[in-house]
Amino acid sequence: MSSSSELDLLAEALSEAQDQLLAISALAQSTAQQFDIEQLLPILAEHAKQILNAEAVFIVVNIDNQPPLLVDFPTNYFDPKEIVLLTNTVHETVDAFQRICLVNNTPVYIIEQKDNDNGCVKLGFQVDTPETALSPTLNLAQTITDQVKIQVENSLLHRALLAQAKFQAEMEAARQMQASLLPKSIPSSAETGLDITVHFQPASKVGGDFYDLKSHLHRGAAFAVGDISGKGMPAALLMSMTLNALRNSFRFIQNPTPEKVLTQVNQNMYDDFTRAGGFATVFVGSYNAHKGELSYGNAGHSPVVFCPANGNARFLEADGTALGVLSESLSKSQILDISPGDILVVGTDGFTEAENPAREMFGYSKLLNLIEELREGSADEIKDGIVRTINQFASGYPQSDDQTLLVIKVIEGKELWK
Amino acid sequence: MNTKALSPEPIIKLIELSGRFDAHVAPEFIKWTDENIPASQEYLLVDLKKVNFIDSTALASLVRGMKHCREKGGDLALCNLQQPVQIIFELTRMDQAFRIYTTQEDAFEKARAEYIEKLL
Repeated sequence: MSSSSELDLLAEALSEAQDQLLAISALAQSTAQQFDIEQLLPILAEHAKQILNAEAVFIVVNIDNQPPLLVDFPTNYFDPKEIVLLTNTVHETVDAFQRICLVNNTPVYIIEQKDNDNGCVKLGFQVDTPETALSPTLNLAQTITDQVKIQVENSLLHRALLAQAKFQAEMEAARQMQASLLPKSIPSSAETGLDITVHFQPASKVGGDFYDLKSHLHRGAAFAVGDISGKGMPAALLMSMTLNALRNSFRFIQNPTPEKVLTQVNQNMYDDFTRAGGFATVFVGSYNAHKGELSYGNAGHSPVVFCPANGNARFLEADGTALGVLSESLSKSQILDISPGDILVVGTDGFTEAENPAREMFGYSKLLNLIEELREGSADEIKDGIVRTINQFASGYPQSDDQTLLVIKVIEGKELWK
Repeated sequence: MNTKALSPEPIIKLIELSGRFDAHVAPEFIKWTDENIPASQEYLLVDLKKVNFIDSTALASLVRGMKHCREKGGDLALCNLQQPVQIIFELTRMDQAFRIYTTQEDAFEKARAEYIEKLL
């Protein structure tokens, strides 16, 4: 008889253990597809109650410095204030612990699972008396708490991934919007008498570099290249405002000269630049094919290289500081006679400040020789040659600033129009 | 940060920067200028003796500081520009916008002379 009743007890214990294993498996499965932590916690609490065969269960999750998340099952069994008070005290004093407390006069066993990164999870379950909390139940409760912690971490990871995906999508939208502000196409050489090409490569999705190009009604073109101080989104916002101010100045000033345009843009944007704590270096040029003349204005911009067909390349240095620095722009219009074969390269400092793994900069001095070497090529070939050389120099060291390069080669000079 | 009161005044607050003055250093520099915006006739002096590189974010932080100081009747001046930094200042023509001195002593002397001139 006694061996039979022992067998019965053993069978019952085995069956109970199997039920618990199944319940744990069900807990893992039911929560596997649920990533929303607010929806996840009640499911976990309900399963925990079943597995531990307790009258009531609560779970408290502390994440960083946010208010604690709290659920109990059955709902509203415990006074939330009392739980928070109790678990907060514990959280401050003990790293990992198991102990019995009284919550609403109910003896509750609390198990805590804590790490340094993502806060902690506490599981509390009702026990009839302290003695009833036997070690198998406690082991089980510890396993459930571990499981809850894993689920919470998964859920947080999922939340972070979602936030990141949303941010990426917004940045992509900003990139597209910024790209849409730039000229859609390059005016043809038939319209301008120039072979023009552009390389535009922001260091991140959006940036502070910009350029603009427009053919004149009667042969020739106006163009601009600019660089806003700083990088990323703040620079991108100022970039769109500056580009807009520049276009408006070209459009509304009578007989716009580079000097008039730079003066006007500085006047319109000075307060905005002061508020934003930034400035813009801008090179503005206008080519008149009939006169064979390039008039330009340079507000603190570099590098700008002029390479005559039969002469040495040289920098066209700024005569006034960047826009937004002084209340009045000091840049004047300069006039340059140009002929077929002459080359103008307007870059941004993302090229000259490109670094290699030894953190040496490409610099300015190599640029003049490089352009002289490439002078026989088309605008595209010159551009590709410069970009290739800079990339070879960088040898894979990441680009840290926006890179813009406008290359203009004169095809038709004034002789054709006389 | 060093503060020097000359005799007769003005008071010059001095900061000596070193290494790369770039986007990583600029926020700290902006904080320093914001906390030390001078009263009228006071100056901030930025010593760039040990700075070997300056980027556009750092230049913008200098421009920002300079504008804030001038609004209050003071100024932000620079001294000891090393060649790589000097080149950037010439290329961007920032040399038009700032008072630039060779040494700290030079800056102090000019500030004192100017102060006395205004007193007279």
